[in-house]
Amino acid sequence: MPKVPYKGGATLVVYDADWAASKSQKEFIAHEKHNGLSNEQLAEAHNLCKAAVKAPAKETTPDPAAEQPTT
Amino acid sequence: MSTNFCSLIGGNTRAALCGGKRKVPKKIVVGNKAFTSSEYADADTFQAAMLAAIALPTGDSNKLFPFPEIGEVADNTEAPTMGNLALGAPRRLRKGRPAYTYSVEVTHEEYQKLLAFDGVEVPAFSFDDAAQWWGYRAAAAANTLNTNTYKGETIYLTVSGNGFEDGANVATGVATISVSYKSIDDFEKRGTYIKTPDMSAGDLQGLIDIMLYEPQAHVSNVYKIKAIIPTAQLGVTLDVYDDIGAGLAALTWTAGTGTNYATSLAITSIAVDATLKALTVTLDTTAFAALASGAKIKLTPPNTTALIAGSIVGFEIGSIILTK
Repeated sequence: MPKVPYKGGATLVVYDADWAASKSQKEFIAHEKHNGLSNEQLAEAHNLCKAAVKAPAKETTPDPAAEQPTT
Repeated sequence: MSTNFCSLIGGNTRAALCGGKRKVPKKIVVGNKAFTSSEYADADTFQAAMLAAIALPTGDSNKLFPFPEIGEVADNTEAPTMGNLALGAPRRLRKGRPAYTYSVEVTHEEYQKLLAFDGVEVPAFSFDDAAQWWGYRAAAAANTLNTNTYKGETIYLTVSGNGFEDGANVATGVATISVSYKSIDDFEKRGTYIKTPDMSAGDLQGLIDIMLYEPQAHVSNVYKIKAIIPTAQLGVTLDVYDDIGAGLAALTWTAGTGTNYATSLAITSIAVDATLKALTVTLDTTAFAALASGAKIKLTPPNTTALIAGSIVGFEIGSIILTK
């Protein structure tokens, strides 16, 4: 399980990236807001977690090419 | 054809030059670890295997515990039992068992930790001042090729002393570690050694226990966890936060609940709390909500191997049971 450290000012939080990447940004912020980071910082931390696990984001726009009819 | 058995008693008596002999013991290291031939293939490999065994978590069957550096050695080997017939020459009836008393200078905390080994029977390796490790061939026969497992010789171990000094004699106030070897054969015929020229007694250090506790009550799924080193001095605990707090947060902790704590709970984040000098451990809200009130949660910190990988060397952290 990859760990993603995020330092916002004096606050250091280490996230479980797998868990974070499985949540929407809204869910993540609601769950982790108690550690004193701003919503912007939490959003940035969430993005870092998703990048760390290279998982498709929950809110990713569908790939148009995948929706082309096959001939 | 020989006319007597004298030439069949043993073999040639000369050994290769520059072999080792038991020198002055500097440390004993106790525990049940048996090194395989691949682990003692050479000095560097053995050294790494020895240090790895010392770093294992308590409870691992291969864990080794180094004792403090020896400051004085007294040879208390039992005198042989002698006897003779009324008109006969005295002869030895029974060999005396090897036994030694080691004096070590330790703090009261360390002495109390050593007391756990008082009165036990345990395998022990001895590291001497020629950088040789003494143990025995723990399988097959003595003097076979180097394919046997290599293990500490079994000793009866007692720990005592560490009382007041008398102000006159340097030997007062020290702790006394007495070792008595259970098997003369293991000490003599099956005894063997490996030399580790690059190793010194100072390399062999035991781990320091770190204890976890909750400095304040949890709020829902968010727990505050503080890590300290308890001491024998009243009113004094050592707070490890400044030194390793951030390092601990970066490592993997696990949480479990239910029977034998086998049901895992996700730890979503660990933050450093500079005010409390503690860690803020957040569990997954959904899983936490599903637990009954009063449910027990076992929070398991990184083990010694993980701590070393995270550059936190020389510590072992105990688990803590949390309550919902």
